[in-house]
Amino acid sequence: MKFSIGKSGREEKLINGCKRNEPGAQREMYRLWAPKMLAICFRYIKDRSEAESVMTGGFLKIFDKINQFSGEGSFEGWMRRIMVNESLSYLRQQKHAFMMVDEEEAGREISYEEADQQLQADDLMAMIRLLPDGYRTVFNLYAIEGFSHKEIAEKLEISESTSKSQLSRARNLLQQYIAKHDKIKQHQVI
Amino acid sequence: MKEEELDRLFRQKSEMYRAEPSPLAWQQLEEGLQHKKKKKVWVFLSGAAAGALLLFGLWAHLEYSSTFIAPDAHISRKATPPEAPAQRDQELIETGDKALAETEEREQKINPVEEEIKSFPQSPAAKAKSIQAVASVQQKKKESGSTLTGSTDSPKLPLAENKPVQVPEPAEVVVEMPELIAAAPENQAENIIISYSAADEINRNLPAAPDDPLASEQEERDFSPRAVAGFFKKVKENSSASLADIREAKNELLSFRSGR
Repeated sequence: MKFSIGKSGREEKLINGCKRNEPGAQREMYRLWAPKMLAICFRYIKDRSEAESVMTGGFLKIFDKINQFSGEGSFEGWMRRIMVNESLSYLRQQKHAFMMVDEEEAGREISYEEADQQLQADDLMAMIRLLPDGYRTVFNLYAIEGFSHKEIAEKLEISESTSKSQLSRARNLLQQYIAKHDKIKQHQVI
Repeated sequence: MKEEELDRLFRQKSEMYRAEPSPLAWQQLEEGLQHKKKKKVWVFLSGAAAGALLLFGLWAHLEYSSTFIAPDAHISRKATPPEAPAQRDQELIETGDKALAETEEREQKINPVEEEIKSFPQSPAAKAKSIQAVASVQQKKKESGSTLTGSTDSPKLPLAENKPVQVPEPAEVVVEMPELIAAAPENQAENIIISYSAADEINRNLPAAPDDPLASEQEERDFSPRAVAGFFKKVKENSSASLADIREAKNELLSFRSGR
């Protein structure tokens, strides 16, 4: 049962407007979704201007293929998939490296609750962007997008074992980043 | 922190993250949308132009090709250049086939005439008349391709079947059976040649009927085994015959021949 009838009704109106290539609908669609879509690209692509470029390309594709959206499933999910694929295409062109980086010693073990309380979205975003390319991509696809190692291996044209090792190393580094984060350190001091 | 907890932490928190795009991003998007619209229009226009061009070409082709729907005479003239003997051969075969089909019905027409002729008294004048009649009958048969098969002739008639015989005066009539000639073509040919010399001249002087291309072409062709053997002999003699020589011999064979 839909409680936010207004919202979904509005969304449907917007989608239909975009299907008819109405400039007003397209502008509105962009205004509503660009910040979230850019966030996705930002997770994958370090350079901000490059990330914006990829997002623009993603929207062009969304408007181009919007007539293929049947209405089944989440429209946001459909858009996200397009955005992730555009990001991966860009990274493929950049000859994305899946190198192994030397890891520092593991720091203090931080609890989930502690991290959740202290760290904000942009803190964690910054940590993700600190990761080396290969680690970052695999972590994004596995932990945030929810793909399996098999799917990741296909997408990135790597082996499943490479995917697994990249993920493992990404997680280790993120734990280190959390432990070293100022907010965590401050909290510790207290 | 457990691995799953770490994943969950980052997943939940990153969902809340928003990145504000610069104004440049929208400008780029707008340009891209305009470009796509223009492209669509161009694609449509070029498609329409191509379609129009195709239609025009089709129309032009139809207009142009209609000028080649020429009368029969034009076509036959076109088909007989000296440097295209193959074409003439083909034409000949076609006319021959056509003529063979007509032979059947002509047979029926001719036979009653033959019966009538036989019933005539054999006085010299009547004989000449009968020869003429039979000769014309023979000619008709020849026209219908009887020379090609050699099988449509009635064995009763003592006249030659290979030559267009139009004898205004009584002339010697010599039996000529093409099957027999095959054994010793030259000798027998000699005999026949002598008796046909007068007819030869007459035949040579006869103009080809312009309104009956079928007949004229048939008259020109001499496919008696004698002639064909002569052709092969010529080619054989000239063991180092060039293509031109062979072609010449072939043309001779195909050209108007009578009693050679």
